[in-house]
Formats: sequence, C-alpha cells, structure tokens
Amino acid sequence: MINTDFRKRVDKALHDEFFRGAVKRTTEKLRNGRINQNKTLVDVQEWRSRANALRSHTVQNLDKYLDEFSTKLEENGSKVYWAMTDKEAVEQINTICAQKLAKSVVKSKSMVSEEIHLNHFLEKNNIEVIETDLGEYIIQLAQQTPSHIIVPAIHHTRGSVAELFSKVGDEQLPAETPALTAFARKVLRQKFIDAEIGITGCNFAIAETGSVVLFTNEGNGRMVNSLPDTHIVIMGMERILPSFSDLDTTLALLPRSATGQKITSYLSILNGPKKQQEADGAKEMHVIIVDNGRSRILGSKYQEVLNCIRCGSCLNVCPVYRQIGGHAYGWVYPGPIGAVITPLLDGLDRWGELPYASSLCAACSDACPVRIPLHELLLELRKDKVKLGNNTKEKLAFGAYSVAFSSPTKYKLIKKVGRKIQIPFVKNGKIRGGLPAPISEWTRTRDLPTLANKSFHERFEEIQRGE
Amino acid sequence: MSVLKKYRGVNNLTTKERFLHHVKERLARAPQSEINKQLNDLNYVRQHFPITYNDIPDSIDAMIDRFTKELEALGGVVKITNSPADTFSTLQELLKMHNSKQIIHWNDESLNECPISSLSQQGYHIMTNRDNNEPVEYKHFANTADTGITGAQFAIAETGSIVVESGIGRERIISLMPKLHIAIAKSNQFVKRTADVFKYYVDNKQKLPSSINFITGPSRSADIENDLSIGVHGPANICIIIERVN
Repeated sequence: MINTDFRKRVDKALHDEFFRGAVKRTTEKLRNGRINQNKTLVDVQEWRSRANALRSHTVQNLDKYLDEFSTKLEENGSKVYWAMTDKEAVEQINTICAQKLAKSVVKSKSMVSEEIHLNHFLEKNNIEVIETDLGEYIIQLAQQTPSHIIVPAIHHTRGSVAELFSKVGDEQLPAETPALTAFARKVLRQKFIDAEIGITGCNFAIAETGSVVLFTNEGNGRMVNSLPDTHIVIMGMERILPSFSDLDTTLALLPRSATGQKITSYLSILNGPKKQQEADGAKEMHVIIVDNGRSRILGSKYQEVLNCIRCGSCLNVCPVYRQIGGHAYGWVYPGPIGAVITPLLDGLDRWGELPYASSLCAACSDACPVRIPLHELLLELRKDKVKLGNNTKEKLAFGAYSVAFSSPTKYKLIKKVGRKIQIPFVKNGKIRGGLPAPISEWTRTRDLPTLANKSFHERFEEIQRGE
Repeated sequence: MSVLKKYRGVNNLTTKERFLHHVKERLARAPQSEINKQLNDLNYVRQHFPITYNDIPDSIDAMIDRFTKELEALGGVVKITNSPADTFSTLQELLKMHNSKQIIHWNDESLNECPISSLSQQGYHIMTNRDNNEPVEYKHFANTADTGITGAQFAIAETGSIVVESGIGRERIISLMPKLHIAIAKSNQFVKRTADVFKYYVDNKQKLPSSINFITGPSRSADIENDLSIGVHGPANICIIIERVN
C-alpha cells in the first residue's frame, strides 16, 4: 500500500464524529474489561513478568524453536513452507490453491494475511475469498482495512452494516444486530461448506508438538479448519512457544488483555491433518512461516517488539489512537504497536511520521501484557528517523530553541521581541495560526499559548524587591 | 575466494536451512548481556518467574460449583445428575425444552451408558458416524441438525470450560454446527484449571488427537457496535450435564 499523507488521514478521522465516539466507547469498554479481568488473577504482575521472560527467551532462540516446530509439523503430516518475503508467501498460497483447483476460499482472521495483501492476489486469480469473522466480513464488503486489531469494524454502524448486508442478500435487512448476525450466519455457513480451502492465522505455535493454537469467539476459526479439505495456516515466524506448559501463560493474558475475557469461547489446538477415517477436519494442512521483515528486527535494539501477542491493549489506552483511530496509521497495525512495527517491517523512510503519533505517556507499555517498552522504542525510532535526515523544520525549531536558551541575555531579548511580534496573531489570548514554519507545525492542530506580559523571572525579581 | 565459497555454500542450502541460517545470523548481532544469557535457559525462566494460582478447593463439589458459576455467567446451562439413567432423562428434558428434532451425536464408548440412538423411536431424526457415512451427506446432516451431543475429555472448574478431542466418531462439527450443543461430562473428569489440562497433554504428547477444543460458553461476537451477539457461527446454546460418579 502506498503511504498517502498521514496528515490527511488524521484530518479525515478527526472530522468523523460517529467514528470518534465509537472508538472512544469501544476502547474504553475493552480497557475496563482488561483491568477488571486482570483482578481475577492472584497477581497479574507475576504473569506479565513470566510472559515477558518467556517470549524473550523464545525470540532469542527462534532458530532452534522454528527448527523443532517445523520438524514436528512434518512428523504430524503437515507441509511446511518458508516465506522470506510477502511475495513468496503469496506465491506459495497461490500454488496450493492452483493444485487444489480452488474456486472458493474461506478465511478466519489473520493479520499476516493483511500484511501480504493475500485477498487481493487471490481475487486476481479469480478465487473467491470470504472473510468469515463478522467484523472482517463487514469491512471486506465495504472494501476497507481493519481499524482495530481485535474489533476490525469499529467504524461501522448497525445502519451501515444493514446496507452492506442488504446488498449481498438482495433483501432489505433491518438495522438490528440480531437480524444482521443471523444473516451472516446463514450466508457464511454455506461458504464454509462450499469452500475447497480454509485459511487461518495462528495465535501460537507449539514447538514441542508442532501444534497450531487459535483463540476465537465466534466459531468461524473452527469451521475453517473443520470443513474444507485443505487448511492453510499462515503465521508470523515469531508466534512460537516452547511447549504446552508455556501456553498457560499466554492463555491467562491474551483473552484478558484483548477482550476482557478469562478465556475465549474457543481455544483450538490443531495437531496436524485429520487422521484416517475421521469424518471431518482438513485432509491436508499447509503451514506458511512468514518472515516479511521480521528478521531485520532480530538482534537489533527493537527485538522485544517481536514478543507482541497481538492483543491490541496498547491501542485501547493510547491517547493518540483514541482520537484518530486505526485507519490514520495507514498500514495493517495501528496504535502504539503499529507505530513501532510498521516502520520496522515496511521501512522507516516510508513511515517516519508514525513514531511521532504518540505523546510518550507510556500508557501502552503499562498495558502491555508482555511488557514491551513501546514508548522507549518509539523514542529510539525518532532518533533513527532524525539520522535519516529530511527534517529541516524540526532542525530549524530546535536550532532556534537552542539559540534562545543558550544565554539569559539572548533569552530575555527574544522574549521581548516575541511579545511585540505576536500581537497581530493573538486571538482570545491564544495564537491560532498565521505564523510561518516551524511555529505553524504546532498551531496546525492546537493553540499556542501567548508569551505572558511579564515572565516568571521578571515577577520573581519584583517580589524579591518587595513590590 | 572464501566469500565465494561461503556464498555458494548458502546457495546449496534448502529453503528451510537458508531461512533458519538467516534468522540465526540476525540473532547473533544482539549484545550478550547477563540477562539475555540467563533467559537463554528455559528452566531459568520457568523457575525465576513463578506464578501464583488461584486457590480452588480439592473437593469435586467445590469444583462443580465453581464451574457452574463461571459457565452460567456466560449464558451456559449446567445440569447435575447422579446416575446414567438420570443423565438420560435430563438429556430428554433438555431436548424437549429446546424443541430439538434433528440430532447428531458422538459415536463413542464414553456415551455408551446413554442410549441416544434409541431416541429415534421417539420421533427424533438421528445421525452418528456409525455407518461410515458419505462425508458430504454427513456434513449436510450436521449443518441442518439443531442439536449436537458430545462427551468431554475434561471439565475445567476455574473457567467453566470443557475440553473435547476429535477422533473417529467424535467429529469436530458435532459441537460446532448445530444451534444447541449438549455435552455430557463425568465428575471424575474435573480439573481445577487450564494448567492441569496442559500438563496432561505434555505428559501425553506422543499420542495427541488431531484437534483439541476448549469450549467455554456459546459462540459470541461484539463486532457490530459492541452489541453482544450469541451464536454468530457456532452454537447459541450450550448445556453441560455433569454426571456424578464414584
């Protein structure tokens, strides 16, 4: 996807009143859900520490665990594919679809498939691809991308969903959730039955047993691996856990952090294709292990970001996400995790604004169940961005700042001049624009306080003199 | 020359070897701090970052109580019975209450004491994977069935979950496609928490079933304006019959 103007995307989001309300309501609900459900653990901090250590251990031994996982997968009768790039992953999936003469593919949620634009490429080959997660189905019909990792269709209303579904069904559906859900159940049920291939993501992959673990609530993930003859799993290569004993740690944290649940309705563990004489389940299981930029992060100062378990809790607490929503971030992953991972996976030169879409308040790091220091990584990215250059306005601003603050005389002089210069721009005690760069960068989205008639220094001297 | 040799060497690797070689090379760039060295040992991680579990009493009654509380909070129904005969009559009551007509059920010895197939004499339309059905026909039946009846491998007190394994006669779609899922669990299948189940599968990792599902409450979604919708793809109703055994 081409990085269109970040500012335009932000402006668009800020002018959509329904959207802003919906994002606020949803993130608040999810945030409170997490906080309340965390109380059902004896000490959530213990779990976070364990999860942090466990994920760090796994990522720093990724080559060994990937080797173990893939060997077990093959022993269990699955086929393993290694995709260094998005292109390779798409080609591998295309080849499987061609071999199976697939006309129709059903999918359950997978963020990696968004990364590689899988649907787009399959549709180009005349394969019907159906997203079966309710939220994903809605945004697929609207030809949009997810605006939240966990709740992809935050930006839709019952009315807009009714409109989309009515078109599909060629009947007028009421803007009522039960009717809309029932419609989706009916339409998608037939798709599950007809599809030759099912594609799922992978929440966790167990190295010791070669198992693929899925956390779902609707049941579509189960349909996708139970009904079509061929099941393709697409996973980011860092999704590994050493053993089932370690799954308990992420099971305690992922549903709590994502939706405020103790456990999702379904936790599915897949240990290979169906066995002989079993009447359902995929006959073939293909697992695509995707790098797509992740190895660039390995061994770097950003390695901890690969500990992420994709719960979305950093989005729900982020003061920036809560104002601008997911689409403004421009790529697959929004919020603080997106601001870190998008430049790392897809290039800091293309996504250099994202690390600045943060107040550095550290609410994200505080919410993260695996304790990724997101705000620190955002700062590191800003440093790297400065090294890339192309920051004339910022340099100008900080150059001026450093001159003004380098001696008391200069500081006083500049204040005096500033008080005079500001006069034509002050409206109701605030500066709201009209000044050139770099000040216009500030006033574009917020008011600039005016210079006071008397500075603290001047007042302090007056007080000392007893005036 | 050595560079060329190395290059050729990498080129001769399989895609898997090349992929893992690349990962290893990248990882090797990381500075070897003390904490990284410690974290390299999985036993260190498991021992130095201990977890305190919620206390759940050992008695079966306490576990059943906890299970019931958790599942009812999610909209599930729990019935407790004292004998196979009691279980069968409770099952029939549930079927009547939900106005069931077409039933698909496990063909598994764990349900032998419950003569589900005999219900066809009462006018229920019944199918099971007994007669090696055509898969297409079987799936079609499961899709139109209103009720699926299964057993369970475990019941988990802390979360109100049951664990079902797939296998011959224990099809995945039975607990998935019909609107109503009834599961029959025995009191001796209760464990306190999910960690106990994972321990069992670690101990039995040589003979894992093709799929394992932890099922906790009905199918749910909140994707449309945060409205809670039940039964979006999977069952809208889930009833667990817990049979006390000695």
